[in-house]
Amino acid sequence: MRFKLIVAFVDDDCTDKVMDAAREAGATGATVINHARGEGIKKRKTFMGLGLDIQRDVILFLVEEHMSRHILETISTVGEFDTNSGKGIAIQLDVEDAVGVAHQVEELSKEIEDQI
Amino acid sequence: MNTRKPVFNKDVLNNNFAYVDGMRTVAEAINVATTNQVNILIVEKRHDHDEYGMVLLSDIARKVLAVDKSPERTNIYEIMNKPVFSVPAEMDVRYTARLFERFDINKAPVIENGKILGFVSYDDIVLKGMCSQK
Repeated sequence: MRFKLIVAFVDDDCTDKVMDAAREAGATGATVINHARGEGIKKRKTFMGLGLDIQRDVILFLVEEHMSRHILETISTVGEFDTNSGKGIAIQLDVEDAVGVAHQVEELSKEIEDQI
Repeated sequence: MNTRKPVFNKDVLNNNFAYVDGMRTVAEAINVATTNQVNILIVEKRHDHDEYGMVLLSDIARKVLAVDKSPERTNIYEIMNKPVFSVPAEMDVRYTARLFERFDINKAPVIENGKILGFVSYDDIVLKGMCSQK
């Protein structure tokens, strides 16, 4: 079974929302890295003119290749990435191999049978 | 005047193949091939509008062994050829030979009414199909 890694960088206030939506779309798990710092196209400033760090979370999803596009697009919709500037981004990477996912593979096998 | 009696694919086909499910792992498929003593594995259709897939041992060697993938973690669907190039049961073996030449293949499943009857290879065409009408 082939997997993709989806890496999402989101504002920490919508981490839970994105994770729930991704699970709904077929992700079988996620890992969150808290307290990342990031900036988008515009640097946020406080009203005093000081730089303002936005708290970000990095969410890692290991997902089955047939479902990954749907999950990626769901994350984008729920996280409002394309409608609001600076809300977050998500990327999808090819995974060479993965271990420790035997239980997920069993579950996923039933889901993807019709797509192969 | 050459009055060669036509020889059809269905007259010369062999049955040296086994079926395997696309969700099985490569390790399981090797087991199926060993048990049935075959070197062609056919991936079954899942419904009427599906197509057959095929895995040869050369596919396993090239796509799993050579690139050091785990046979236990690689599924048959990842390495199969689907849809598989097939020939009709009622096709004269002369044309089968021409088709094989043109598409650079050496074996193909013989299809009748959407089902696989058997396999036909260059060996079958030559050994069973050329001199049988003496």
